Amino acid sequence: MLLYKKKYLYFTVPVFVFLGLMIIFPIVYTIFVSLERSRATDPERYFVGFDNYRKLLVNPRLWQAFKNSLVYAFLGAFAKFWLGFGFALLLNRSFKGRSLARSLLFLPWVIPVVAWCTTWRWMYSTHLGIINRLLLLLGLVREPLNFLGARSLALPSVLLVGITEGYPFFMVTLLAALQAVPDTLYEAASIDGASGWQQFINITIPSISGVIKISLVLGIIWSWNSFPVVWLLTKGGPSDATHLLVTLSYEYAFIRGRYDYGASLSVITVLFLILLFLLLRRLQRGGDVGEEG
Amino acid sequence: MKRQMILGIVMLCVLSVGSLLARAEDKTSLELWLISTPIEGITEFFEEVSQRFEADKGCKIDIVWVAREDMYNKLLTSVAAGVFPDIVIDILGQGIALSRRGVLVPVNDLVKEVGEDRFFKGILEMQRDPDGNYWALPIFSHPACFHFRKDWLQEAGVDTKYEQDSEGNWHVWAIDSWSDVLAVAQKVTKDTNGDGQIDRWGLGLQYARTGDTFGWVSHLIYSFGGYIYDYKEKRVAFDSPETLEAVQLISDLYNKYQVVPPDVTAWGEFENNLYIQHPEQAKVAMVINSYSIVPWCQKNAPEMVSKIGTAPYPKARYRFRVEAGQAEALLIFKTDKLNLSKQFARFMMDKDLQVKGIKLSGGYWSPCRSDVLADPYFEQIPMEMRMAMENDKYLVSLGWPTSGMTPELAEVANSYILQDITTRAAVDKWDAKSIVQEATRLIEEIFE
Repeated sequence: MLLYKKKYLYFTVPVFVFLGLMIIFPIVYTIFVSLERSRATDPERYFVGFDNYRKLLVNPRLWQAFKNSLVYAFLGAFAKFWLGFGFALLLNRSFKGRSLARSLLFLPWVIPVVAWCTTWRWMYSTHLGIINRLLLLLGLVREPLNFLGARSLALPSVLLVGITEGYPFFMVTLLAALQAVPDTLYEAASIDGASGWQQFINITIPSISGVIKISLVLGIIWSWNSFPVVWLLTKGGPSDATHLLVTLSYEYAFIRGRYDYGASLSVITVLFLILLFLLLRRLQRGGDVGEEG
Repeated sequence: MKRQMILGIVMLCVLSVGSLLARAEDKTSLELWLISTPIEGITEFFEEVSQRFEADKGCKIDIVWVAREDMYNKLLTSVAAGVFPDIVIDILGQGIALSRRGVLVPVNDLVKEVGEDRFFKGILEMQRDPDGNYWALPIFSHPACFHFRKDWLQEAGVDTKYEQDSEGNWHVWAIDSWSDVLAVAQKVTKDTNGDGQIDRWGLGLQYARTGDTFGWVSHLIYSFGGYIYDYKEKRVAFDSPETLEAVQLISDLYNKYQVVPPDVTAWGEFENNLYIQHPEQAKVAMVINSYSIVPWCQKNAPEMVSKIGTAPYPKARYRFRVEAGQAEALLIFKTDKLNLSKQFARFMMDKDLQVKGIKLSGGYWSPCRSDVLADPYFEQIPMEMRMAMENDKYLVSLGWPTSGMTPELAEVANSYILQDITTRAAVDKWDAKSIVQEATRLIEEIFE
């Protein structure tokens, strides 16, 4: 028994050491920095308690970034989900060129995000970009649209890039789940006279509901913490119109040199995320109880 | 299992100690961080520098290219982590910003070796703190280029001929001051094809959070007599009446006079050039820039060379050019290779090497020393490029009206706050007072 316990320790200690160094220490250190005044160019640091949090919570920039994060996380995750689900349903059928279609649709996930965003930047260019050229050619607009520079268009434009970059994850996950649904269920339903829609609602959705839930939760968390798309396209501008909590946190820490504000914002971002997660779990449980009932 | 575990730990310790010892004994290489640019000549130049230094001193140069916009935060994080390079060549007075962290070595001795009076005053003062210590050694400047479309200005009845003043400086008098520029911009801005949309604009002022935007915004503020640091009050001050006047002009250019295309808010690093130099897509008659576009035109659009003119930056109350922050300067870090780093700095100070670098950069760099500018090479380049390079004599430090710089100023210069002024003017259409109030609040937020 003792030998078993020792062996158990040999395997678990390195994992705990790794977790401690790579995850626990940064979290604890971030909380510690958030409670002191710490500037990048100033060696003097001192404890200020919750002062940084107090200042940030009355800062309108934080609430603007919070609203943007909510839009980006929820709209982004749901749009990625629906797009991915649509493509997954399409790819689940057999047709000529399915492998090629699967490879092409998976491409945005494989292309490095920097290359993807740079390409979109060019496409969005007001006078040289292909999107505006097409819109003008088709007579849909009278003058070119300022996709990344106008307040009203910037967030939707950034969101669109995020969606096109992120949907393949949902597509692949849902496709795998769809392929795991036994054909016999559909065959039996067909014999019983169920229509395609009835099969979709009563067989497909319940069979993959677990994957749908987990992928949606993951999608929301990833979108909430998404940094590169916004930073590469707009750096949070124009006038904070596209700032997310994570990009604002980065700006405070590494552009304005306020490590303390950056750390406090990171903690706030995580707290918001935990709240969201708890809310989602509660909703999910409610749904499950409803289903059972 | 226990034996294997102990063996593993011992191996880890040996590897760690070994790598530390290797690092301590590795005195035959220097780590050099440089700002990456898409200009091939600059890469070629530093490859040659590296090879020549290795041949001369037996020391290898490990070059790390860093994106310009990432350099400041990469430096801050490396300093915070305590693992930094031996040398960095960077812009915007980063040396001053880092001076309080105790990681840099002052370069007073190297400045004296070259001779303080040889450097253009503004560029050198940009590296000096209030105590008189120099924290970086200027290597290259960037030419002051106010480009204009000769053909479009002439079409609008504007005289674009060059004339010399009593001191021998070249001017285009029709666009000599900001009020001249505004008048010309209003003349040029029009709908040329009659579709009801303006397709030719007077002025292209870049918006993006880049060094170029910082350059023109700070130039405009300082040329009106505004400043960012109040030496009397010892605080960063953005609320002087002169600053307000300059910011009002920025706002008016976008909103009241509407001579700047509205989509500049999305222009990136090189787009203001694209919109003046592109043979078919050009849409602005004047742009302000920190390097010459003449070499680009010579190589890619020769038909545009005769159409592009260069003039000094417009003046307001003063003919300042506050772009000293654009000068590229060498920072030496406190590492165990200090002597080698200083040897490299001396190597970079070589006049012929600097001329070669400027030549290879194709108009991106210009001299930051009078003795380099006096080289016969600069007699052979196009007059407009030389004129832009000579304008570096108008550079003043961000610390104007007093000389020198403070870490606070350097931090503000790196904070994007000045760049964001243009967004508030162009996108949110705020008036100058609101813009200045917000900029002041954001600046105070950095130091509170």
